[in-house]
Amino acid sequence: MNIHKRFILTGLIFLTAVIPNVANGETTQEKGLKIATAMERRDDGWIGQTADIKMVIKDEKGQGVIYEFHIRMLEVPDDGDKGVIIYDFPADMRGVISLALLHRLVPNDMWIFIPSNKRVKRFSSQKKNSSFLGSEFTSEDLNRGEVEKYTYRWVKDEEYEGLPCSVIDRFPVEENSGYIKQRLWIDQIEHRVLKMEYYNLDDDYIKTLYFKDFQKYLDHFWREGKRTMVNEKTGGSTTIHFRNWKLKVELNENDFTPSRIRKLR
Amino acid sequence: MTFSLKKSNHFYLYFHFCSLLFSPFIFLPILIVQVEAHQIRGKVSIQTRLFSNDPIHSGQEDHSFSLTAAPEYFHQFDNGSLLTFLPFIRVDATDSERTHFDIRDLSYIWSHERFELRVGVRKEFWGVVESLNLVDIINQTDLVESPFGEEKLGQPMVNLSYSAEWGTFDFFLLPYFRERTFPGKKGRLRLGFVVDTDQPLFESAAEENHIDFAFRYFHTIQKLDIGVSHFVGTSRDPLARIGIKDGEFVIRPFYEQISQTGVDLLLVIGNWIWKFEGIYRDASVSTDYFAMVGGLEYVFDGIGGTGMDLAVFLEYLYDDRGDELSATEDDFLVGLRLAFNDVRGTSVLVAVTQDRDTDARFPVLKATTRLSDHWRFSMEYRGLMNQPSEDIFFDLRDDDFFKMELAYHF
Repeated sequence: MNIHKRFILTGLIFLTAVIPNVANGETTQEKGLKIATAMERRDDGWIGQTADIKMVIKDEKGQGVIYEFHIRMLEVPDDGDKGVIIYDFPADMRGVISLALLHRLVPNDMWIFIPSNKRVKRFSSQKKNSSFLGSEFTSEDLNRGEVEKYTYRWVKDEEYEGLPCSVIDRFPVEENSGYIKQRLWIDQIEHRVLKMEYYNLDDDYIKTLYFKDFQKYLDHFWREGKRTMVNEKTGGSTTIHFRNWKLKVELNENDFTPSRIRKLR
Repeated sequence: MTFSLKKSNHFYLYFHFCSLLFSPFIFLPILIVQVEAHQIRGKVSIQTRLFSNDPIHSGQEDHSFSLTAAPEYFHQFDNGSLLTFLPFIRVDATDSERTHFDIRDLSYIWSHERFELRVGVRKEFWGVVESLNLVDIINQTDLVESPFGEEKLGQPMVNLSYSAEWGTFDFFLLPYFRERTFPGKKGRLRLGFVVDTDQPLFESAAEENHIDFAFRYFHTIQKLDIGVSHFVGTSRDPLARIGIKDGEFVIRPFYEQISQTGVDLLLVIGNWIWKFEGIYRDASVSTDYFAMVGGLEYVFDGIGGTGMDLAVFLEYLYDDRGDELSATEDDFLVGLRLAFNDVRGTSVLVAVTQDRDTDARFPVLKATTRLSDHWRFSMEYRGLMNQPSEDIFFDLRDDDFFKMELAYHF
């Protein structure tokens, strides 16, 4: 064995010893990012979408509270998407409208319109750990989570509910996240998240989110019929039911600005 | 027009104006086929105000109890345009001036790409701070609703809005002036002399028909919201003139002509929000002045893993006219807002405004919670402490009150 070859060989052994997660020439980080990127790309092209939502909050005793709202979302190809929530129920929230402009590299922008005094108020998008209307969701949980807002690590491949899945961990990049990591089960064929586990800053497993009742729209886009967040500590749960998904809807981009949202119904 | 029944002539004019304004639009809904959405929603409430001290002005009665209704009807057409009607009525057991009717909104909004045209009676709010929204000038204050000026009357307008990449431009034509409402002789929270809203005085010969103009530019640059506004027309804040009614001295509100330039800024940095509002008013009868409010707010989100938010805010108010003409010439506001983020939408606000030169202090407490899907309960305490005799709130010094409201939403 000439010295040159031996050098390369020891080099390889050394490398594999230091970075044990090299597989097929890619690290688990690269593999995780690739899966997350593929998932985001798979859903590109919906342009505009609307849906009606019913949120059912159940505490540990099974006592329920219902909220109703409808959403309009606009796809922004080179940045995060834009979204509006229009509240319908309970009656005192009717006509409240919130606007979120999501961003890939900087914190999101958020405003809320309060009909009683016709005031549009901007608030800090760093309110990530606030409960959303007393549900098991925090403000952070509601955002789709642009690829750039996390780093990734592939964990394993395994079957979940009869589907081959990639299991990846993602770690929030922005400050003030309520989580140290989230573990995602992503269906390898259709690139949908099926299940997500949430770990708080002490790395305790606290919540699980299940995506259920998927339907394919326009022969391409998968949308869930409901998502349920279960609090693993208290036993409480919140289910968001989606109805009337409409995709590739033409929405006026100018309506997704603080000075225009108040006329949305 | 807010009217007590004796002012029906004003109301007639106002109504006449509304019908003129709407004549081109009356047939529009019929021409546009297929209604996409329409709804009636709103609120009715029962309210009581309890005063801890006996009244000090002659004729005032002790406490008041009232009913309000604010139903809203809207019609959204296929093309996205919107027709809204929102009347408001309060019936007060004590004060006939507080019993009043107002059209808060009767408007048609038409949008086309970057343009939006809004015609009719509307409310338009500008401002960013918690304590006093100096730049907010389009709508007249409905003072019988709130002595601190938070409630506004509907304003007739034609508003053309254009959204460019580099900001939103709003042009307002305001063809009819709304007079401020004031508590009557029996009402609490009033000056020593009753304000006689039946004998207003105007600088302009056109009186309430003077046409006012306003312009506003608004833009969001990343984490910064910028608003620049200008107004030319009849001042919403009346000056006081002495008059006589039924053999007694009264105050006659005098509305002068002004122009006012305003700037409002809001900057979000992480959990911090920085706010500023400043105005310069050029008045033709009273003095010109500069006033500003600057402040900051910090939000502790999800405190202790509870999901609740605690916001702490501090604001400084300045007005170069000084104590006699302004209640907020050199004052601080500190406050806390606790949002429970619970299924009842519970929140509590505690704040105090403190004058820097005198002991004058205005504490406020507000709390609200949902009782069921349709019922909400709210309460509010307003204190007026240590008012020096030269301050404009001196006449209200014994009017600390506690208000409770039970509202049915539909």
